[in-house]
Amino acid sequence: MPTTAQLILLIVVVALFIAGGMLSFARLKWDRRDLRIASRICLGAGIIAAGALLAWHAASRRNWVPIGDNFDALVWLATLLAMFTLYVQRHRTLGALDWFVMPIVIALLIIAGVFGRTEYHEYHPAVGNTWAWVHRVTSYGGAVAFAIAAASGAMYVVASRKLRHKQAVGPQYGSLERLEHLTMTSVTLGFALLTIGMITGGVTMFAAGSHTPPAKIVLAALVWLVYAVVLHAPLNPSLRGRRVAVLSVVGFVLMLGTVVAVLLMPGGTS
Amino acid sequence: MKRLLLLGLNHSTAPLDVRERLAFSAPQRIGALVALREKFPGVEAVLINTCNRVELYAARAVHGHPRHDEMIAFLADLRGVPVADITNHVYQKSEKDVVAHLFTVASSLDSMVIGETQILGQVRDAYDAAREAGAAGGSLNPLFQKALAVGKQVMSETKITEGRLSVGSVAVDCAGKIFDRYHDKTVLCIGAGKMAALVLQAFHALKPGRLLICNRDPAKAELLAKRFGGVAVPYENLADHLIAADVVVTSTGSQHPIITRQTFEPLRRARRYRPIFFIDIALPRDVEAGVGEIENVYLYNLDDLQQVVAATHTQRGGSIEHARKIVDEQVDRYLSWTRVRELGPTIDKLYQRHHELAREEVDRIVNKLPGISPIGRQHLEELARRIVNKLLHDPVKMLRESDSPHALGQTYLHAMEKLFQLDENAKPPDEGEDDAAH
Repeated sequence: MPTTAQLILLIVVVALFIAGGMLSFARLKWDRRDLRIASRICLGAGIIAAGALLAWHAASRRNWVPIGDNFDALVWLATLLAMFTLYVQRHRTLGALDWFVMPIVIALLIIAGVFGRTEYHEYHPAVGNTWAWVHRVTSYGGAVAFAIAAASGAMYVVASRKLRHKQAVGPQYGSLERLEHLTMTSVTLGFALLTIGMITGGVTMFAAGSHTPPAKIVLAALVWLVYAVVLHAPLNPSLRGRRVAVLSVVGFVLMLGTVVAVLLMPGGTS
Repeated sequence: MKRLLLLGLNHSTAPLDVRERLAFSAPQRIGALVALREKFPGVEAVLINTCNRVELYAARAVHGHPRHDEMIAFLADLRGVPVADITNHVYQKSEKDVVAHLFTVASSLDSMVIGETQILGQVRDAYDAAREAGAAGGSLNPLFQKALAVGKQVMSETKITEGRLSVGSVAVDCAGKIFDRYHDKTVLCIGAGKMAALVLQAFHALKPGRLLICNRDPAKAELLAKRFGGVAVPYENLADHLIAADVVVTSTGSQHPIITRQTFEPLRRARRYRPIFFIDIALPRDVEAGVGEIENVYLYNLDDLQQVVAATHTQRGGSIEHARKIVDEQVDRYLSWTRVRELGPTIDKLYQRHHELAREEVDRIVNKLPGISPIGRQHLEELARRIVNKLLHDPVKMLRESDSPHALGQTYLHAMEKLFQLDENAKPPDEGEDDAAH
């Protein structure tokens, strides 16, 4: 269970991300370079602080293998998302990406803090083998990719709506083509990771003879199906555009449901 | 003396669907001027017709016709539009407001895209058409020549044209919100007019994969294709070109939409539902509004581009102020010049008339004095002349002193013409005379 000091550090991380997000939002009104740099500095400082928190937490539970408990898993998920946002913003001009991703990051960190105190549980030691670890890494990696896909999908929906209503679309949104490409790339990556996660999860479950809650399986299958439909877009182009964007958001909501289902079921994780 | 009148509507007073119903093609414009002069003989008229405005300038005798309501009725009747449909969208101006408005228009200060230079050519075209129709005379000739000069002065002496947002640049900016790269895109241009060329020039700079130019007249399409390194394609295969296109610029003179929802919807499957960006800069519109409701179709017409321009901050506030100052100065100068031009003949007439009266009276008196010597006659004539001059000195002085832009010179001049019956054409005012200058 995270200590009070670790929770305080978690609050600092959240505060840094909120400050970065607010500075980024301020660019809607004043699109200045110094605001962009300040926002990136806050985001970077938040990532470093989150890394320190993960290291501290790993040291305190004497286990350096990541994603060992639900608190650790959520902080890892949030940190990976924040890192990916920083990377994408640096290499592709999508200034608005953090407007859509950082609320998810902040929500995950808050849930980590709350569940870390109230519903804390370490993942089942019986499945603490390589298969289980691969399962967790690929599942959470998939979740990160789907979060990016959902954020770019949401951006697509907003930008497309603004364009159709002839409203000004800021340069922070990039182009619809770029957003669609990012969504499809993220979904492809996430889908591959999720598939591996589901297979390794199944292997681990059978190897351990453990009982997996049906809700988790049903939700994971639904997530997989939704993203399979999204990936179907190149074959069925009538799906492309807004429909793919909406589906990627829906898939991520289901994905979050699956993660929460895992977290709320002690010992229910593989 | 003639009265200047203006009746018009533009992008800020009338939506596109109203403007397109009143739009005139080049031959229709000349026909309209001829028809106006047949209906109201003696009237001078110029009809400016651009994508964003339809304005009828008229100069007629002070108590003559047409009046503003007759001008509305004439335009509505000519285009087959109910008067009620346009009444709320038109503006009416008279006298110096007409001058100020025309100078503002020619300087591009009233344009959808402030600083665009096409308007000067469009004003010139309108003036040339009026001259061709024999509709521009002593009042509108100097007015339009001065307006063109003011427009040129504004363009050359201010930085209003620098960094301007042209329709082409705005269209490219909008396309940039949809597409990331252009080397794999096809730009299709339907129509080969000046506006199409301007937008095409902006897209040409993006180096698109293919540039197709489609026009009813293949020779014009060839010409434009050669200029931009594109390919002229037959108009008959428009559907095939729409399947290939990612960006479509339409600017034809067609009176009806050439792309309708009904014709475009079946093409979506063949297009593999790719996004498409329509830039419809034609008036009347070439692309039916319903096409813009189709998924993955982004349709921008002239009004939509205007919205984008309005939402974009420009850094040219100083230049615009400078341009407005030039226009204001030139309006004052022009009004002074016209007043002097009108005042001179009126004062001459006034003196001539009174000296004639005085001479008649002197002759009558001389006839009653048979023994009067030639010197005495000269003295009498001198006396009469001096009396006339002295009597007229104060009113004429007042008239000349009132010759400033904000004085009542026009009113005095008009009153003098009436009181002394100097205007041979003057008739008693009609009932219901409604002009603002009264």
